[in-house]
Amino acid sequence: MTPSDPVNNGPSRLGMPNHYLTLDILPGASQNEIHHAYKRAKMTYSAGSLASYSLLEDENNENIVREIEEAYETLSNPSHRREYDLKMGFNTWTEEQSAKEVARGYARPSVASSSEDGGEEEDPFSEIKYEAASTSMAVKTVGALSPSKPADPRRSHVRVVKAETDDDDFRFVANPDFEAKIQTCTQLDGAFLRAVRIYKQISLEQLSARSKISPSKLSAIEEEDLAALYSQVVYLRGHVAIICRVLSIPNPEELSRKFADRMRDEGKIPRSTL
Amino acid sequence: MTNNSVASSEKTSLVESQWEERDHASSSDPVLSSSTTSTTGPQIREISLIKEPKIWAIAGGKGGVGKSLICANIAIMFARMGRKVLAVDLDLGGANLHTCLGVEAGKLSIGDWLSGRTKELSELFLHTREPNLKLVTGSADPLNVIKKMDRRESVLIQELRKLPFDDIVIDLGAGTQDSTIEFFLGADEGILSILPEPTSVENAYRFIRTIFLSRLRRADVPEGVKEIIDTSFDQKNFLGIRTPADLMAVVERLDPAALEVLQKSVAKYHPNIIVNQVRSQVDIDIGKSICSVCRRYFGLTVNYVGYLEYDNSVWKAVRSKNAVIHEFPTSILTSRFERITRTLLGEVKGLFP
Repeated sequence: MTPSDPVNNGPSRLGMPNHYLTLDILPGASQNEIHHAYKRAKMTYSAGSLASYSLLEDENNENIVREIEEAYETLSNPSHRREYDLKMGFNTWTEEQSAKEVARGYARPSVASSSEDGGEEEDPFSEIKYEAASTSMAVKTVGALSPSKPADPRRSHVRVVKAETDDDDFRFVANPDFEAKIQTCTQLDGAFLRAVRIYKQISLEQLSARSKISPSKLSAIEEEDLAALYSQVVYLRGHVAIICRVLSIPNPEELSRKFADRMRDEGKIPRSTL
Repeated sequence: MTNNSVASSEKTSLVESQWEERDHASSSDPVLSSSTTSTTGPQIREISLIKEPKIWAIAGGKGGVGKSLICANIAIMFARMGRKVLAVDLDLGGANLHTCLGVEAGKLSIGDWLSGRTKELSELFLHTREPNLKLVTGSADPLNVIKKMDRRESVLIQELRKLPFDDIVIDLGAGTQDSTIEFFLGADEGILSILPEPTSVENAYRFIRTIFLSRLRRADVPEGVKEIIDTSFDQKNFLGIRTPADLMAVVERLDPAALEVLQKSVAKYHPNIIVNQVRSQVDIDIGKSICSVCRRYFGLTVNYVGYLEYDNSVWKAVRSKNAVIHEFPTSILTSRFERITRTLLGEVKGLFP
């Protein structure tokens, strides 16, 4: 019999090996927890460790440490982790869940930090220069949204956004040219959504707080890197419509439908099976 | 009692509701107030007859790791929570649980029952300072005498289960003798005491390895598989089985169905560990690391239920032949024992997983 690795075979197959198990954490762990678990795991399986004394050889420990490094590399990077979660079925942020988040957000008071002067405080745009800000000094307020529609339970998440943006508006320096571009927009793409967001000095976090869509999803939409996140066009369409409303882009319904259809046609998300 | 006239089924439910009431009352009570139950004594006896006691076994693989200390103080904690408790010293040959509890060894010990000199276990009960806690001391007989009289050892667990207690806490001896393993696996919950030292860790792993294989040996698998498990007890066996993973791989080739049975048996078993004599955060984390190693190596989920600081109160209490909780009711260890006991009862979350 060939000597086998006591770690990869046998008993550990009970719970399929995965990066979370490697670090002894649960799939919902925070980045902080991941970091601490990584440090502890490395200590546990370091050469001469007390906890593995008499049970594991140095060679075993080396293999385990490699696994740990690999796990940490993936999980400590949010976008890699997102991909991994989806691949492995640890869907910590599925469409359904984010819809639930939205529903919860409807019930509780706004958790969004006031965005007033948010750009100055955190300076999230320091690295990105765009013409808009410097060309005009006029301060304009966003948030004038389309007139409210009759209450419809399916649209409750949309109404949340309105309710919040109505009394808590973003401030930014307006640029007439870019403003016109937004008003006449007939075709959306991820880059344009990002440009509008940055123009209006809204960080991903702020947009996430308003829209109740996770930052990772928002950034995926802006990058049009959607295959792993959206299994159905309808979810994408809903999210893009919400983003449009928060960013005060006109015709959110039409634009989001066009955007989602284009993504599907380009094969960036799978065709709906329903 | 007033419920003598009602139908037996109603009586049972009435008794049970009293049980719940008592339970509720004691849980809202601070732990350290003892004997809330003395007024409800007769009811408890009746209740305890309905409910089988929960058996807790404390082992450590190595001597001097604090098994008796933990056993004595957990038993006191249980008693102070209003539970009816029996502490049994099965460290035959090295019995000193009575000293840890501050009780004089009586005339009769477990050896008398094992050898058949006494008929009933209840004849052995000694009173302690806690009204709810009774003690059965270990044998004062030399070990070679005990070895000849182990004919009743195999039925001891069954006999203990018939006793009218809520909890029975067993102090097991060092080493991995058959009887120790038998009691550890026969108990409802097994607790291992480990020191953050190579000697203790090594012996603890040897102990876990033995209980792991013994548990597999008890699983419902064909004789051929049992023979392989028997063979793998010997670390230098001819099959080349060194690790649990090797064993599982051999079994898988021979009988995949048996592998599933074994894996289920392993998955259901959750021993508990306590790290004793910690001096730093690193020592506390050793417990988590041990759990992690056990999961990787054995596939066992081990619960880390708590730790105890290296503390002068222990030797001081031993010198004065008293329990730590009684001698130093405000010491850090008293609060640690309370925490551990609550963790064991599932009232608070453990340190791992």
